[in-house]
Amino acid sequence: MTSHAGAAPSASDPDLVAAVADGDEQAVAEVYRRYSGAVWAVAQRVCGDRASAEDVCQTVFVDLWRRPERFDPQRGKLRSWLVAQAHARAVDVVRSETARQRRQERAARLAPTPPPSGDVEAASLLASLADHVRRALDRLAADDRDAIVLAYFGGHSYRETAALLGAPEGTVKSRIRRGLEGLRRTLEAEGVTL
Amino acid sequence: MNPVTGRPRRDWHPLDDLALYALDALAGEAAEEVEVHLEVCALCRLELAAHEEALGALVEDGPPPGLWDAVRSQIRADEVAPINGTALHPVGSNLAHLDQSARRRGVRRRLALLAAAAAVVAVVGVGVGTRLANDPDGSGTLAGVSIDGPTVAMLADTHGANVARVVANDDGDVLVLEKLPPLAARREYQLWSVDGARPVSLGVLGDGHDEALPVNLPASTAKLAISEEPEGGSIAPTGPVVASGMVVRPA
Repeated sequence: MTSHAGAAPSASDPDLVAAVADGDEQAVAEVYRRYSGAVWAVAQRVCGDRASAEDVCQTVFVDLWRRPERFDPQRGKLRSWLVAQAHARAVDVVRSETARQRRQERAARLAPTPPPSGDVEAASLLASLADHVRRALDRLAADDRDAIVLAYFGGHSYRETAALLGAPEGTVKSRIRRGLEGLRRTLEAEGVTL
Repeated sequence: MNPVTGRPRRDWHPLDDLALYALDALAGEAAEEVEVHLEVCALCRLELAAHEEALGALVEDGPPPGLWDAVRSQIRADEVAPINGTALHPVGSNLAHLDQSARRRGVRRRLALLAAAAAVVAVVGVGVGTRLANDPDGSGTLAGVSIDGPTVAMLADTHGANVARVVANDDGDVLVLEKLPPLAARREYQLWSVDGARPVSLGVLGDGHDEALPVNLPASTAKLAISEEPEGGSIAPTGPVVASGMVVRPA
């Protein structure tokens, strides 16, 4: 296994990925050091269980090792790309048939308690987030925020989100877009580089 | 989609659906339409990247101890049997069951491949999609190529049988294909330098029926491999390696 300057802690993200493409294990280790926290966080939030989240994280970094050319630095930052990969995989996990069966079994065990409404689920998800994330999301209109939280952290499709919130699908689409744009403005105002 | 031409519209931006796509909340045809549009619309690619940046900023936590050990173990296990002493990293994996992310990764991969392929061409002069032999009709056939020069590389299949060789003519190297097996439709052979940790494409070879193809091997190339790939070639080997061998030039 080779190691070179591309894996140095001071290396840029594109240089690190180039070093990964060159078979440098230390470069993967440096990418992991930088971004495993974010990857882990999104995987854990969406999957809801530690074992699945670990599988998702492992897959994301091993996949970077196997196919580093899939990251295009012209199209965005490595951190957000890795987080997007982790989110997509985590959504697959929660939407899988096995997960659905688990949810149904759990719901049956808890009967006759009715399933939580979208509002309740969104509040529960929101409460599980870090303070600074909650603060950023709380600046959005409640309807916009709940739609984003259910779709992003709950792993629901927009149709499921609409059903959970009892809102028309078109309305939920607009809420999610408006909420995301508001979130971007909020984070930019707080100095988070986008 | 333009209803007249059937092509993606450049003057229309599916901003609502793009936001859903960023959240992985869109599926099926709607997601595919977004992906088709992303291929042609730089503005929407930027918009998607900005959404993802914002969403990425929402998550940060400490990974559990031991997770890196698991990643490292899998990376090390990922190394496969070396070809002439050089490890080829396998592409494709056991992750096909992850449908949503596979679909989502697909468009990103295609976009990234364009950039990556361009980079490879810039570095080595030939690359993915580069057809060896200067045949204008694209058939790969080059009648009358001399193969009288000394053989500088023999490429053997997995059973040890020689199936291709490189001869060094005065006016350049020629790859002589002798016994490559027939390919299925929409597949073709691709030549790789496997000197480094990652194979570098030296060009696609067609269906293997061509007998002699001029090649421009970099002077540093010491190890060659031929793999079976989808039509047009790949950025990294994806199909089986059907032949490999060393380049040994006279001192």
